[in-house]
Amino acid sequence: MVSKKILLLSSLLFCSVGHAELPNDTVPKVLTLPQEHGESWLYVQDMNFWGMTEGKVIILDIASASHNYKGQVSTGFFGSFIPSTQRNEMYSAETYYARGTRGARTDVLSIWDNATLTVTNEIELPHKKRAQTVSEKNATQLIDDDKYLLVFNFTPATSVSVVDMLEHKVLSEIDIPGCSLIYPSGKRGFSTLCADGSMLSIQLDEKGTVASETRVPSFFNVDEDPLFEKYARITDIGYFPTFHGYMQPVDLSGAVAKPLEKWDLLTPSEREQNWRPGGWQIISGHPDGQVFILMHKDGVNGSHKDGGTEVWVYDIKQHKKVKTIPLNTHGISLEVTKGNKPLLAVTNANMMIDVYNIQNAELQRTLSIGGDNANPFTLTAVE
Amino acid sequence: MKWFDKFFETRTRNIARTSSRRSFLSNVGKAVVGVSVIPALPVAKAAGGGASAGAHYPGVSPQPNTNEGDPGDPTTCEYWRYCGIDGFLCSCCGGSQSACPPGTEMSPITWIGTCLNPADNKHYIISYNDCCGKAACGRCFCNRNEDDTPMYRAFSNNDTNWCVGASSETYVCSTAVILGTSIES
Repeated sequence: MVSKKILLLSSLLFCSVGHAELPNDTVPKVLTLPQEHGESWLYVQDMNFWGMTEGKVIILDIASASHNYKGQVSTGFFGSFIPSTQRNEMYSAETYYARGTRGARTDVLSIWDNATLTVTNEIELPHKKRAQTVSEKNATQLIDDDKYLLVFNFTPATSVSVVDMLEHKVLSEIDIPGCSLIYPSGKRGFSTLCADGSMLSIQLDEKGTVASETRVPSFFNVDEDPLFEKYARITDIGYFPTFHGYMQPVDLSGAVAKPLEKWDLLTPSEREQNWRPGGWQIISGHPDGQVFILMHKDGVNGSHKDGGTEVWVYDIKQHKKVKTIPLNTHGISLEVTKGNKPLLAVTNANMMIDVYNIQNAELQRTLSIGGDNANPFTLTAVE
Repeated sequence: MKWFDKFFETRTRNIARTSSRRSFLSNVGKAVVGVSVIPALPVAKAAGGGASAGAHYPGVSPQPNTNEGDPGDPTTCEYWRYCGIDGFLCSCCGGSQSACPPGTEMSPITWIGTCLNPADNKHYIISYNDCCGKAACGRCFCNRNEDDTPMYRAFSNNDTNWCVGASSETYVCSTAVILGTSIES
């Protein structure tokens, strides 16, 4: 007993000699991030449905063993978020009421600095018509090497506001009657999906006004098998899954959208078991030519947002499933990082982010973005 | 819905372990709150459609409906008019199935569905007017997603905030107002 006490004492003495006294910390001190966000970083949009006026986007490094949570930006009421691929900035279209839930409405486009995560500029959106929907990537898009930003409006009349991101000013508002959302097309334009299963393709001039407008005839049946409005985009081909498990590619490289041949995501036996895509952000693509789709069995009318138990990986050239990733926890949304060693991020039913190794289909880690109240439905990888 | 059973069990165990005072259903609701706006995810379904028929939300007193022609309890997700609803039930929030809570504003623009009244076996046209202008109610989240279409067919889409048209578009809860009987009847 005595010898143990002596041992403890001597080890304490040794410790006190071995470590210098800690210096005082500097106050105030605020960290910053690198100007370029890493290829394993993910922007996780939390709509915060329980307190909708305080939405946010959390930045996670999903590959790191620690310090995964890098910071966040606040995106207001029904914010719509997109990071720039040309400048070290991120953008969010936001709505505010002067007194929280009441008072004068202001719509703004906030410009966030990648390093400081502070607003460096703010462009007021004068139309005050910004669509307010569950977080939806295709509601705010960048075109022409990020020179212009487009914001989808819904009143319920639909239109698109065009913002010059070099001059930081709103240029125009373009009506898109009967159509919704924005899918960049051609050099300086976009296509939009319409209620009758057609598309409208619009090209803009440098002033943001319509240079050409072409109606793409109806190419799918909205009543029988609608396209999901979410898609994966690989080398300017948009891959739109359908509710019943087909893939409708659309070539968006030119001024006018060109629907390509539809292919079946399912084998006859999978179709018999009624496997279907389902969830919120149900599809993501990797530039190597693979798309990842959240799938569930025993699909029925109304199960298209039910999420999935498995992620199916397709080779877009072969039109063939090349891998199945069973999920440890039911998935609701997914995103694949775009680098050479891609990771699969899945929003699970517990509102956490599961990170899977794509090669061996194993769960690497599960990341919280802030507890039970979070709604991390929209995930955006760094490109 | 097998996954959901598992989710339910896990949550129930967690709640028991941590002595949380929050109810399971409230947690589920939080997971996928909405408006007309909430994506109809499985968690949402569970909060409503996953419960047994006529189940009451924890901490919400029943409101037996005395009108035999309008059967069911409007504080339950299974109430017949809610066949296309997606959001917090105004009946649980100081309003009713056809009226908004005090101090809110009923949105003039809505999405419309058709529901079968089991009392007279007639199909009624139901307008899901949202109540707007305050913070989200948070009680009695109910979601049914049949015939929901993507956002490009907006009038049958429940991911859109149907407080559009109100003076403040902040969402509080949803009603289910009868507009008439449908031709199907």
